Amino acid sequence: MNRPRPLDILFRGLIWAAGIVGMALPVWIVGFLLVRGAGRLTWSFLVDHPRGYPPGTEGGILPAILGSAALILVGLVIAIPLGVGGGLYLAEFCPSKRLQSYARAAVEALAGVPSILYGLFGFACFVVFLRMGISLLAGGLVLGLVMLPILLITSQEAFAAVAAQYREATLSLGTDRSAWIFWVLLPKARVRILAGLVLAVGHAVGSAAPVLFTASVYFRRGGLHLDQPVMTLPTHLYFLVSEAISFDHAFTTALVLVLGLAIFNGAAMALRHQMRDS
Amino acid sequence: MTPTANTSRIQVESLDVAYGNAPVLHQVSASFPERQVTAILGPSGCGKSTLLRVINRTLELTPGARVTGGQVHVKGRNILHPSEDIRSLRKQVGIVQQRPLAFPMSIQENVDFGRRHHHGRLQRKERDRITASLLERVGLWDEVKHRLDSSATRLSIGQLQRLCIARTLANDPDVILMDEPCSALDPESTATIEALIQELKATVTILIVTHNIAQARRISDQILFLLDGTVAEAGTNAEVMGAARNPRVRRFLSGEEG
Repeated sequence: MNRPRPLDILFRGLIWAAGIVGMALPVWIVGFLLVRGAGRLTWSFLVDHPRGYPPGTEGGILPAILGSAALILVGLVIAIPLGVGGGLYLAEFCPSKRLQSYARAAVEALAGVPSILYGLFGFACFVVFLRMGISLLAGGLVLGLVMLPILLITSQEAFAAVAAQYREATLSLGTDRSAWIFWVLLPKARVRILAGLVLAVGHAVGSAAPVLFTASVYFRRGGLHLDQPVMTLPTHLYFLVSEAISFDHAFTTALVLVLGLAIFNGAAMALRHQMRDS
Repeated sequence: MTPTANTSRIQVESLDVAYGNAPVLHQVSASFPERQVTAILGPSGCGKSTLLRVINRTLELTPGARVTGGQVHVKGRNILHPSEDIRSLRKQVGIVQQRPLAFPMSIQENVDFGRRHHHGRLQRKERDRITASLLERVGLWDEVKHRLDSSATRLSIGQLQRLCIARTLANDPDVILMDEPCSALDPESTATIEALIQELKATVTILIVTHNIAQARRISDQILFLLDGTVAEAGTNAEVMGAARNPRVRRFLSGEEG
């Protein structure tokens, strides 16, 4: 039997090390949050308002959970039609390959912009220029912009991945383009689009900077209104730590954020399996 | 070819086709008689599938592909004319592709897809009757009658090819183009499709591209043999199989060249 060469052994060792570190890191982070935060994670923490003085030293984080969810929902109202529609345009309607590649490069550049720049843009454009003020609407619009490039790129790839033979098989029956798009292309691409949606929401829900300038406040009581500011999980976490209000509550808030994302990802995966089977 | 123009459903005259600047078909002329099976033979890359795709104008769905000259008449109408109603043509001239593809919907919806698009929704009872009749015609009814509402993607490839034929038949076409419909099928499924082709030719004109010489011998009435984008041989099954004039065609038919 041939003995493995030293270079092979080294290469194999590096790959194993990379794999172990890659898998261990998220486990370590979640484990750390569980150790530090799980003790305070009670039902009342999830459904109560921040209490104590300053607010956040006691009580719960219900307004922050609702605020984050509302911001994501408002953002998705903007991002889904523009992202999926833009991806469809690039994949199906764009008249030239060159224009397609320019547009794609521009969108990819947009996806790489630091989220604080989205916050600054949102503050200047929505909060000041359009006079929306610090509000759920302004923050939702900014989060929509944060999610848009990710959703657009993944949608375009999802549409492009549907083989050209499907297009030909559909149109060869004498059907029109709308039948191809709505009955074959969109249903075939939906699983991949959903994967992009999960990625975009995961990115947006943890972004503190865009909502810090446009939507969120440290503490607020009352319901959710489009023209009113909201509390959010990442900014609540930021205030708890930066103002040294409560590190214990900060870890539990971080744990809720991570568990919320895990639940969202799990639900999306289950939906993807169901779609794949149907 | 042997049949005269007035018995031909399809006539191709001096057809030139190119992909970009590369010519694929050059001065191809042929007539395809009504209610007969014509096998289109030739080595890979000789333009067989391209010719089929010109006849129902799906060629233009491929970027860079274009007809550069000639005419194609279906029932006396030049289908390459800019005023041609492409949707109506594709309904009249159906195509069954080499790779059978299930649309992301149920078996029944797959069968009904093209028909519903052209004629609108039917009452459930009527739709069920038409679906059953089409699936019986392609020999698939007994295998799927209890799961019409389940996804078509779960069918085997042989079942899927028959489903695709049923989907094409639902449009009630005059002509069916088949692009190597049995290339991915086992012998049993191939026999089913061949029997179906024989049954269909009573009402439909069939053009079938195949690499399988034995299959062409079994099922075709006419043969068109293409070499390097031109017509090398054309005639009845007996004429071409028995006495091809072109030496390369003879070598191909005898299996010396493939």
